[in-house]
Amino acid sequence: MIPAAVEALIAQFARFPGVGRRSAERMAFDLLAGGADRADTLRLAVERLSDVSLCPECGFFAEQGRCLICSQGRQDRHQLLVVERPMDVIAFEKTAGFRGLYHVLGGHLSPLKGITPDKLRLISLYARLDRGDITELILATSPSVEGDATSLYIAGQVEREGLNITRLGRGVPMGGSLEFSDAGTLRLALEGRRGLHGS
Amino acid sequence: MASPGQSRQLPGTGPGILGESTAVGIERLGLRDFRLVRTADVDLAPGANLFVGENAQGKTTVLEAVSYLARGRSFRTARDRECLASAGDEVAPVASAEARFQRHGSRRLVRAAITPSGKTFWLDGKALKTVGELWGVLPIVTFLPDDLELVRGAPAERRLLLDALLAQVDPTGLAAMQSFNAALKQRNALIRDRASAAQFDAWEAQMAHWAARLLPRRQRLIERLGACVEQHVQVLSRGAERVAVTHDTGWPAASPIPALVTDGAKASALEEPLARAWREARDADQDRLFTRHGPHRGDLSLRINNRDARVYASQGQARTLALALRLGERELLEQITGEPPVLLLDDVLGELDRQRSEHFIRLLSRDGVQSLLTATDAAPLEAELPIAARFTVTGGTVRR
Ligand SMILES: [Zn+2]
Repeated sequence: MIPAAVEALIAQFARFPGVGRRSAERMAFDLLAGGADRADTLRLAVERLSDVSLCPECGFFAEQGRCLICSQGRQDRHQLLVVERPMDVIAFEKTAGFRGLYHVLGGHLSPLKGITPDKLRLISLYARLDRGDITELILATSPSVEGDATSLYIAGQVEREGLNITRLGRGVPMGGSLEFSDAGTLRLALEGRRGLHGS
Repeated sequence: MASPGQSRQLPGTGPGILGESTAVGIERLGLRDFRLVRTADVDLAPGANLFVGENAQGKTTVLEAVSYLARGRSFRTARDRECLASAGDEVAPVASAEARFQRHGSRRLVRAAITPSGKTFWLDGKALKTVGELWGVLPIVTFLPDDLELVRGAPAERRLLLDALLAQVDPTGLAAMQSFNAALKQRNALIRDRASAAQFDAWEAQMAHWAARLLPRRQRLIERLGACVEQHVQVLSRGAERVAVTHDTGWPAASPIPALVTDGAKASALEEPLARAWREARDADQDRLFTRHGPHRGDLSLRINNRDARVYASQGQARTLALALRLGERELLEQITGEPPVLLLDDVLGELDRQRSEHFIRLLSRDGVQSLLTATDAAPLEAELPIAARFTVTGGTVRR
């Protein structure tokens, strides 16, 4: 009943998080009703995504080379906040409480799923720390067993004189997600960060 | 029945009004395409509910459905797919069950749907994210024909009782147990991969963190359970037997861990020794390809007249002890939650001798205790126990 071309579009929309079959149909038919101009605008926007890559420095989304955060003159270039996913960077930027640099790991350790240290962006993290500008490393991996283990592993690898290693304070519930935490909760967790060892 | 995505409300379901009724337990139970039962809607009474029928007619299926609603799993099998009703080669796409019940003055609705690809649960119309959220909502205790395995069987049998008890009364303990198990699986993967020491350090620290929180909670629970079980054995055996129920922590006796736990060490004092114990066990664990020690190997140590009950208990002593363990589980659930759990008894009263069944029947007759019992023959039970509601189960249909 529905033309194959529209059906293909519905199937793509339905893959988005939180979008069910009904919403996907509405989106597709709305686009169809909007005429060739609207469809073209969307097509161009999607095409431009091929210009987006991961920042070679921090692993966040970037267009041409380094990302906007790395190329900006950040207030505090001595703090480095480590997160699992690019979306977590956006969550922290919304808190307006952090003015340092980021490093995106691309996930967390899970030997069970074959995610070993070499699968995360760790070599580039160590390289950044070796340059010696960073004095505080804030580990903000997800509040889960896997996130905690990942932070502990990194802390064990980079421990050195002159580098203060902290972990995000409690506040984000265990098993919760940084991405979906509100700005206030994240700000509190950031302010409540503690030394990883000895406390 | 409605598809699993829809929440079908039973008539009269809604938030309970305090004081409306003091009855505690399941009021209404519905089954659709659940193992042997095609359709059943049963109004349960407070007190003893007796399901009578020949074998393989569906009476145990009714209890099994309640087990799913209370714990997210069967007491018979780990294979959920077996719950899908079948006729010849045709297997139902969904098996579902729901119960309206009262706890702590409010009326609630729990629903379960099992499909070949998984199972989903709803509480008061809201889909649950994990089975863990179900635990403790509707506490139950099962009394089963093979409960003798609690005494004679492998540690896993007793651990299941222990874990179920903890999960129903201690959400913090349940979270610690789940986190520990998650970290343990990762360490076992490291063992298979022959991973670097740095990776072991990170995951063992996680295991130590959560085990240090789980073990003291398990210890306190076993101390309380042990006291209840010892009393029941006294009554059941008229003082003839003495039992001791203690915590086997899952470490060999030579390790410092058991003494720390039984002496009541706090989490902060346990974390370091636990991490060290796993670090030292690494090489041997790699040879055996699994984590040999830890709470996942914990057990209830049972002694009768100062000898290991697993090995030395006679048939009669083992029956007494198994029954006392279930009665202790029941009592502790009531002590901690403030309300008696629902009891599921699958064809067990016939197995007991006079002395044991008297003690049991006194308990079942107590005010406010709801039980669901199955039997092939109603007469012996009805002679001893006031039955509040009696159902006949034949060919997968349930009739009052
Ligand atoms: Zn960058």
